[in-house]
Amino acid sequence: MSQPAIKVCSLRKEFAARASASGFVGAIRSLLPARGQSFVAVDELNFDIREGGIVGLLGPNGAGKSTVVKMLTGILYPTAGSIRIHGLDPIQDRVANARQMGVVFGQRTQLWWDLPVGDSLDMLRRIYDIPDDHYRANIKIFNDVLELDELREVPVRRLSLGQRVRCDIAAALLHSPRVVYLDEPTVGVDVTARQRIRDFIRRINKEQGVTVLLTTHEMADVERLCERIIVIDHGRLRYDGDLSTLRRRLGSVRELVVDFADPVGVLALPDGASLARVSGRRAWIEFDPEQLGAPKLIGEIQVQRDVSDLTLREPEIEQIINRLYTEGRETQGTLSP
Amino acid sequence: MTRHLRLYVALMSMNLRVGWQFPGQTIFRVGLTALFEGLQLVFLWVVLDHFGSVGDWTFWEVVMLLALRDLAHIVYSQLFWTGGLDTAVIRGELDKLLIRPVNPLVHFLADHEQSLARLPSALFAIALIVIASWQIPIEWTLLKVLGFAIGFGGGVLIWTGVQLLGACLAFWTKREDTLTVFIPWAADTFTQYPLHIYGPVVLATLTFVIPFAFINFVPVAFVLDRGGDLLFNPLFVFVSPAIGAFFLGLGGMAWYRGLRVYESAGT
Repeated sequence: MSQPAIKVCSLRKEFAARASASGFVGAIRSLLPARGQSFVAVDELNFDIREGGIVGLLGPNGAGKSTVVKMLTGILYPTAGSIRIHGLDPIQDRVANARQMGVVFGQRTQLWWDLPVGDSLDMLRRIYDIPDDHYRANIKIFNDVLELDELREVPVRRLSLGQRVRCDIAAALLHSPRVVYLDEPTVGVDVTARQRIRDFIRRINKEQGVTVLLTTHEMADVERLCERIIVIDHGRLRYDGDLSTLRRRLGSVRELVVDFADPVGVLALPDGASLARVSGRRAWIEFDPEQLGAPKLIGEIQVQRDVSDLTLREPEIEQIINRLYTEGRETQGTLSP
Repeated sequence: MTRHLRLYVALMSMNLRVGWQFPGQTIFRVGLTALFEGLQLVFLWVVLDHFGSVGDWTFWEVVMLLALRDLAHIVYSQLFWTGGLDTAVIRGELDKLLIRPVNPLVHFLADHEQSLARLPSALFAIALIVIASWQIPIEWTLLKVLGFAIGFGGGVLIWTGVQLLGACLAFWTKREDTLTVFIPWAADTFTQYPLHIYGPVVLATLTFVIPFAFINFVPVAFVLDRGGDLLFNPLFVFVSPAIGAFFLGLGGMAWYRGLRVYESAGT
């Protein structure tokens, strides 16, 4: 085995939790040593990512996903623990590490707001010392896939969100990084653009072997792209493994949607099934297939009432993840695959 | 080093081009600055017409003081403006500097809003210096020219260092203004008159603690042969760049300490 692209050991980040008092006195006070508690955003986090891997970092809002990405990229100083990106420390070796990584923050641009896209990219070419032929080759690929050509002359401030994210992705990949961090790259982007962005991420991963770490709330991104997911909540690791294992562990509940001929009213269900939701003539019934087979459940319902339609559903990945969050909170333990 | 210098020039010319995209704003600023500087002169003339002199300094001598201060300020703003740090810290805008293969401090100092409106102000300040030295009149010797030029360069460095030091407080206060606005205000207020008029305590503070005296008072006193108003031999004007380097170093240290507690923003 070669060394991992990303290696995180016992990573911890605390933020000073302090209500900032207003006015001049408050400003002076904020310069004095902190009293009171600090807030732990990331705690005792360990994981490795292999070179060429494509991994989803998931978690509810405020779980610490962005804090992790910001430590990996050298924006935030870790409180404790170590990070190595191809052997480099993001803080100590900031410049060397910056050359080998690309970062996209979906909610924020790293381009110059008032400059045309082309000028911004050209400025980045100078900042990263990208050789001319290399630069032209990359721009050509981006034009093909991300359709940047039409945007070159447009100032960044006039781009739509989808266009802007496409440009930001191009900007992050211009210097052919080995590791790419994508922090919610598809947030607020429409379906077509999202598809295009996904295809591009897959392409650079497959063709150039770029290691990708992706944080997202968009489960479709995870399902189509990630070979592995890392789930964190309250700054702690909840799950690290592949999707299908998680689905097997937590996805045992299936859903039966029944349309009755009459309003639902009272319904007696066998053991292993429960009524999740009712609306007019439609009922959503959850059941555990290990305990209760679908034919048996449907039979029992048909005995009682006239059924006009039935749909059987597999649980969606989003529900599975949500269940993981709730379970994790109840047991405070880490699920291992 | 050369690479950073090249990037510095590239970022600066890029921002100048951005500034040029808004000619209306530029013209408005030129007008506003001209009005402000004109009023400052009129006010000074009224005061000196009434009192005859300030601390024994005549109108044109004080004009020279003002013009040198303004010129140092313009050069600082053009090359190293640090005023945007509080906003950048609060909004997490330093993120994009920290992910690039460039020294983040160099990037920050180079990459700020640029306005062509500063050019007329600089020309105006230079014109005032020339007119004042002819009116006073100053007999320029090689030593005086050197002292004035070195004092001016040192003043720019001192101004930048002190401003950076003050701006870095935003890393801890995480708020806009308050302290960061106080420093330029204090500098502007005190440096418009010869500092000895405020008495020995203020003069000593502004010479040895926060060395605003070196921005304009020391070099101008040097060329006017008014060493008696200073606390030491006016030849100390040649030490000014060293003091500037010292304060830049302090500012740089504050910057690196600040990055340790930088919290970025959002999501």
